[in-house]
Amino acid sequence: MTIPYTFAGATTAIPLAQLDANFASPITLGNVAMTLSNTYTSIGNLTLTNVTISSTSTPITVPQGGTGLTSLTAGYIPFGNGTGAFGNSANLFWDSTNSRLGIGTASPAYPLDVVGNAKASSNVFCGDAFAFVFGTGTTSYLTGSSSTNYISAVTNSAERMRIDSSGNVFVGGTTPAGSNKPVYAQTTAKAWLNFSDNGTTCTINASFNVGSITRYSTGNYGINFSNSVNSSRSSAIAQASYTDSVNATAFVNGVNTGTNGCQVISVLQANWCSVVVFS
Amino acid sequence: MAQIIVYTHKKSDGFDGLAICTPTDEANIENVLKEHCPEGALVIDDSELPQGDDSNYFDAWQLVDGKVIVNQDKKTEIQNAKTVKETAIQKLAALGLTQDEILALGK
Repeated sequence: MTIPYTFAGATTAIPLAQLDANFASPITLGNVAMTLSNTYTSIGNLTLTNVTISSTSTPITVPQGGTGLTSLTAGYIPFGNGTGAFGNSANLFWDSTNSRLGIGTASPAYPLDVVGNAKASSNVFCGDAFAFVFGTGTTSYLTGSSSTNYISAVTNSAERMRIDSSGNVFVGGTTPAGSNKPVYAQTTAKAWLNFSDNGTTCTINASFNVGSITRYSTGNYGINFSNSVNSSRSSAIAQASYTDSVNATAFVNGVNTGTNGCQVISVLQANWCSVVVFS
Repeated sequence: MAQIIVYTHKKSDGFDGLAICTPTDEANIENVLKEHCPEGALVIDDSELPQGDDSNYFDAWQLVDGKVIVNQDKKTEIQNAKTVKETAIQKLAALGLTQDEILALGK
């Protein structure tokens, strides 16, 4: 190849091999086939048009500045796949049309759609008053709010249980009056007490909603509630024992409204006695 | 040692005995004194209660001048009743009644 050179009206051709120039401004190499035989450590401000890169490796590997991939499927997100190449998979998918990211799916239905288990080592945040929904419908879910401080459970599109800001648990409604469903759990008990009596002192082994126990006479005790219990809807059972394996007799002589509690009469002196009040 | 509340309580037989109120962990003893006990109730340490053999005669305990004491007349009465009961039990056992059957009679 020669480069035309005009000087003093005469044009001569300079062989490219003899060109040794230090260009002060960028140059553009257009539709000219060129071979740069030497190693160039720095080329600044270079525009290449219609470039074809040939390499001894096909495709161009990561160390050579390539991806190591021969093709990319639309939506597949490349990821590091060892030191020499990228990988891509249908299990990591970006739906650019709907701006959705799929993990484990190539057809995400939500902004983030995970098919399979998900785990977080820290908090998972849900928008205030939004819900964790089970299934694809919106009939059964857990919802709550930090601004109004409650958590509720919804099934079949109806709120079934709520824990309010004071820690009250309502089942079947969101108020005490509306909370009228049975709860098949220990929490139906309004109060309980397990105590021992060595003749001198009573020892409280466990209690809930019981402020104190009073021994009135041998085998005759009164239990005082911490919070009121409605006697008209309450009942109580008692059990006493000489030892853990031998039962004694104890019964509850009614439950009083308010915090007055109930009277427990253990007919025979026992080592310990348990009382549970239901409502 | 734990604090308890004591006050005079009239027994079913008319004896001015003692009631002992023991707070649970979920209650403050001052609140229990105010809400669950009658006027005149006292907070004492349970170490001030009768010990040893006297602990078997709670129904003879009384609150006198701020101290829990054992009324000896009532204690004797209870002892006699126990003796009668134990004698009866021995006789019933001699007749072949089991302990459960004897206990059932006591109900």
